[in-house]
Amino acid sequence: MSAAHQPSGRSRGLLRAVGDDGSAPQATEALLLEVAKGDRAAFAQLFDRIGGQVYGLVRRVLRDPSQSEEVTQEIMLEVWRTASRFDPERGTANAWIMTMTHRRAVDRVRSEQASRDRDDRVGARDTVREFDVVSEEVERTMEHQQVRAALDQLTPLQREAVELAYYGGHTYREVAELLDTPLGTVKTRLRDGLIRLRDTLGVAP
Amino acid sequence: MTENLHLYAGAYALNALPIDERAFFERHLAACEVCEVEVTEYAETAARLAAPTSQPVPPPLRSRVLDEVERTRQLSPATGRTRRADRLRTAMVPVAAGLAAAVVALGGVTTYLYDANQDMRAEMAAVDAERDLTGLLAGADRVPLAAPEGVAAGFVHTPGQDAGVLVAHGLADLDPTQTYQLWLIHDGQPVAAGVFRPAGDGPTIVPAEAQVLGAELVAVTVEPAGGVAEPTGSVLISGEL
Repeated sequence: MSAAHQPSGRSRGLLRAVGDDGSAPQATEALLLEVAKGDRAAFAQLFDRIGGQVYGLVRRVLRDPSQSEEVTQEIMLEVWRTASRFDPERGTANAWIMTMTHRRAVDRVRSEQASRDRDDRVGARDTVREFDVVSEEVERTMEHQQVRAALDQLTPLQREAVELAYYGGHTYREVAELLDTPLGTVKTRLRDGLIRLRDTLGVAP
Repeated sequence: MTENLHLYAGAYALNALPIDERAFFERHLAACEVCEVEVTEYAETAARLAAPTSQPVPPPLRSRVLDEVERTRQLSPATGRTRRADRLRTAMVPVAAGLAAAVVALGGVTTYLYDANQDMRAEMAAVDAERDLTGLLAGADRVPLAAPEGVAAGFVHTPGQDAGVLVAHGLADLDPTQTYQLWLIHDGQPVAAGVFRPAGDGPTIVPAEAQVLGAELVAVTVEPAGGVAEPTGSVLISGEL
């Protein structure tokens, strides 16, 4: 159950996610295990390591800066509160935190959407274009380039579908409408796309 | 059917399932190890996609979070066999929260449910079939309703007749200040159809105290004790008639 028992493949992904800083491969897991014991200094360190990714992803999905700050705060407090539930055998700390992050951001989108007129196709298209522009500016590190290269390996439909779902926070039903593609096709493209990304990025099975 | 549900793993890992379909997939996930492995891998993969979005955190936000941590109690570790159940329950919290917001206007949910995928409906019907309650009313139809993990619910009514009964399994007890309230929605307008408490043993059976004929949707919310004239709480159970 300890981080030391993790399969080595998991730490490969972690190294890339964290950056090649020469630190121990399981540093984020180890930090999180310290956080679970109530270590606030470890939490501050964890915040400095992962906060930028959390805030960045929330902003990508939500756009609105003040809402994004609010949701980021909720997520980081949730990480603090539930750190003891992190199970290193079930995946990396990075995935645990980013999964929580993405879900929170998307839930915020969904709950707002429900009380709003849904038809904003043009806006969604712009979101994707803006992502391309922004990501050109930021793809400086290895990890960014790797992700970008992996996205380039997808078919255009896989890529559009994955980007609209992940960065745009759209449901697969909305993606199907935006891309004017049958639901079943979108569902399988999302899965195929993830499988290809998984293989390209070397995420361990 | 299982094969079809399998295909949802990608959309699920990208959080691209609508709230109701997500709840059904999670019900399936709890019983399907193949999907669990798939979802774990896809979640690792999806997490990597976050890297290019990274942005500096505004310093006041960092201070606020660190301040807040000072006064926030942490959860104790989950132990042994409860672990998986806890994970699922945790996963359900945002579902409930999302639904609560979605249903400020109950009409919003009508759309969701109307869209609900046929595969999911079939799965839902199969789950419900295990607790088959049809036949409570002679010649009645049982409409399976969307419900949180651990709860099975259906609405039994006879088409063309103005009567109906909610049947639910697994509803949690509520705090004394709260009650469950049944609603029937006519032309987008919720009509109060009775407040109730869960039965201690066996199914909770609630006859609708409002016009069933012509209702397009049935829903259950949690409300302040005594009930309210218009729904204010989270929608726990819902479905179209």
